[in-house]
Amino acid sequence: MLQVFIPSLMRKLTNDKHIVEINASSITELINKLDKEYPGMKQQLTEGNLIKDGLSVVINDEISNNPLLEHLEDGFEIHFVPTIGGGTF
Amino acid sequence: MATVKKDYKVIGSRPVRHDGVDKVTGKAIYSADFSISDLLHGKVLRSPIAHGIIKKIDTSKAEKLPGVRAIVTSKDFIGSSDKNIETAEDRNEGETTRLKYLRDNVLASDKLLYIGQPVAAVAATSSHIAEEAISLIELEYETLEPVLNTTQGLSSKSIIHQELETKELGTKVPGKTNLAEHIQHKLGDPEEAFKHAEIIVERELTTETVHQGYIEPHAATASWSKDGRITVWCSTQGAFPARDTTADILGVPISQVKVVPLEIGGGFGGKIPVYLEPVAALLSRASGHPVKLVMSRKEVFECTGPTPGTLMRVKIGADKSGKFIAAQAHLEFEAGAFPGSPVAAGSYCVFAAYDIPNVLIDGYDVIVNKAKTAAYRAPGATMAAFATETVIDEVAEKLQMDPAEIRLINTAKKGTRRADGPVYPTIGCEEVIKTIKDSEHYNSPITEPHVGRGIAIGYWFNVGLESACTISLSKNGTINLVEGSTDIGGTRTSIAMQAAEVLGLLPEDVIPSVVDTDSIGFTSVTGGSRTTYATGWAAYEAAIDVKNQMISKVAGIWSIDADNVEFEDGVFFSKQDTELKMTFKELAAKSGAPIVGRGSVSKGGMGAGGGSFAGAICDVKIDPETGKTTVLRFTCVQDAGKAIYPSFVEGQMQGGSVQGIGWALNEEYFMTDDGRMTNSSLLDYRMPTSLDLPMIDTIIVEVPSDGHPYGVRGVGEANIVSPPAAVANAIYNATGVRQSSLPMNPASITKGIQDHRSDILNSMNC
Repeated sequence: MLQVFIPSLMRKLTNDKHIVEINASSITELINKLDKEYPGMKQQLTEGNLIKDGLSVVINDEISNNPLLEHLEDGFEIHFVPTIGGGTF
Repeated sequence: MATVKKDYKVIGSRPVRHDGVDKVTGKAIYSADFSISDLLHGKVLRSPIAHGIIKKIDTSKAEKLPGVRAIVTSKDFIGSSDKNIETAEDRNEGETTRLKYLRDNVLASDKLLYIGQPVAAVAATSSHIAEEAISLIELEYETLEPVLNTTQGLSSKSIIHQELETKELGTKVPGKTNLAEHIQHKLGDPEEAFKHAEIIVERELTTETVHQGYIEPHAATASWSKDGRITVWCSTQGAFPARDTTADILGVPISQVKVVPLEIGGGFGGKIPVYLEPVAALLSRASGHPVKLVMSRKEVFECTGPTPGTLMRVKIGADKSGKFIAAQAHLEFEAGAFPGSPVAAGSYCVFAAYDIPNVLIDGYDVIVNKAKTAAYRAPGATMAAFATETVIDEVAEKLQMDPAEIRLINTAKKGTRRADGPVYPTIGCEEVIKTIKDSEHYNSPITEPHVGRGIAIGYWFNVGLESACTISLSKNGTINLVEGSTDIGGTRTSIAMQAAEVLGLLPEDVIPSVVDTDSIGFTSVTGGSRTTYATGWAAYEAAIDVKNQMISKVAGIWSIDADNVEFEDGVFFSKQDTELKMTFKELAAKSGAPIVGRGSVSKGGMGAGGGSFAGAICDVKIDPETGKTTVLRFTCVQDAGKAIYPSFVEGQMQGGSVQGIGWALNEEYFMTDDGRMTNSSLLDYRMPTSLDLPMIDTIIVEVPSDGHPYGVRGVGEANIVSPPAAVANAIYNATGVRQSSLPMNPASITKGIQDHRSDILNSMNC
């Protein structure tokens, strides 16, 4: 199972649950399953088939450059965090 | 341990740097030095007001001036006859807005958003004619009320961007606003935890706008050929991001733009955005000549991105033992005229050095009528640490604890969960604090009056991102290393050393070149403390590739299986036949297909390798009459993972410390009520010089990062994070007065001392 950490600003969709456990091998599968269990998550996280602009995906302890291409394994932690602007556009 | 082996031959040595001779003899070519035949010179007309609506831009008089060859405004971006140019309508809503902001920051279209915003540009046969032409352009506008800080931005009815809506995790909150983004991180239950705290300290702190202060002003030359190819020569921290942004702004494919990075005289984050490149390109297209634009120092200060002014409230609750049980931060950062302050980074870093189970962090990115902020060395982290480390010092004082001890018992370690969620891999925070606590400096006595000592800890998460390198083997056994990372701090050498170590070569056997965007694979910015880490990793991979190709070659010569060949200390040998040996140079001289090694890496975003922690110990002496602060002694301690080139690591530590001390004591934009900077020269914008400071002592800590072949951690940024807080804590210990605003200049220190004396007298009278 993956441990999905729900950002505080999205916890209204998970009845204030901080961590959700889901079985998935890709971020796309994960988001679809998350949306099935907690409707609205897909709309919050994606635009088209891509992760929404302004959001980054952390897999374990590092932000992924290509989250949709990552293979997820049992026990991984997934976080959705705001993208770092860092003072650039 | 993440290291390949510990008995390195090259890693950890201090060779002559590859770019040294050209730089000290003045032969290195910087962007303002660049010249090309038929070159025209450009100047930019800039907004005289902080907020207004453009009514008319009349260029007719300027066009008639002899020597003027082209004038461009924002209208030249859109509606071009060039079939390759996309219009904003081709893109989705988010992209359209982003593109408009990008374009408006280099040539305003409908509104004037800050003093200094470019409005029009001229190309002429001389810079004097271009300047005269600029004065002939008539700009008509309607003035609006300016918004100049976050308090005004969040309360004002003067909305800067009518289309702006607040973003929360990529989702828009309807309603007109100057709040571009709200960020929140929550861990545990801080509200409940604060109820159980033995002691709570909460303070409001502010910082002013500060510039990176790089010595080389921005300059760019562009040539738009008849075949549509655009070549740009410029000073940039990232040739590829500069190419991509320039192409975006011009609406052309990236394949149509080539960026040639020239030597760079400092950037510190400020040379990541593009300002002049697209304008020079437009002028070149309009005139048919290459066009060069060079900023004055005044333009650098007023028109490029500084780091923002901030308003922060930090609250920390601790139990009797000094363990932090809850923390809360409210961070308001000025974005400048367009969204994108470093508040997200500040939110990540604000409590990053500590293991706190209950945390709430709210960050606010607020649009104001100032130049769009840019990155500045650990963007956002320095302000956040000023707030946190000042509050921690007060918690320690109230609990009568040693400032280093309270940090040590709360230190973040491998496995600590940060407020934004992820847990740390191997990090060196605890080792940095222990080094401070055990240092001779920290344990030396203070005997003089009005002298105080302060410490602070800082974190920068570092990034990985993409890098590419190629290595070509020459017949004399040297290698040509081609890379895409522009070299700001000597990274040619620190990258070359990582390749040399693999191949058993000396650093001088490596000839490194930083090349243009047509000549190497995509390489991200020299920023985020990533270059020695990620581009060094790519060089390591390319060297491994060369080594493997050479093993195959020698195995062929000896007619043995490649698996039976070993390479050590510059010699290839057979595992089975000790007579079969050949040196690297001997093998290089053998004919055959040229050997070209390739390394390309993508090493994640934020948190690459666990980031780097640094700390500072600062002794100051205060003149109680004038408020003048003299820094008597300063020590920077930083975890470098593995110091590839210790002199460069020490140089980064010293440079970051000096910038942090300047930020602490003197540097600020003096702004009038109508949004005009009044100290836009190096005479009036007071950065510290070598005469102002003692030698900065350095202690390198080495806790190798997980994953990297040599355990490298980027060291470019974490060293600036703690100095302002360390100086503030030292000033408190010298004066008994807490400072809550940067800079802590003589006037604010004197006022603090006077107010403190009045409070004591008043309490005595009572």
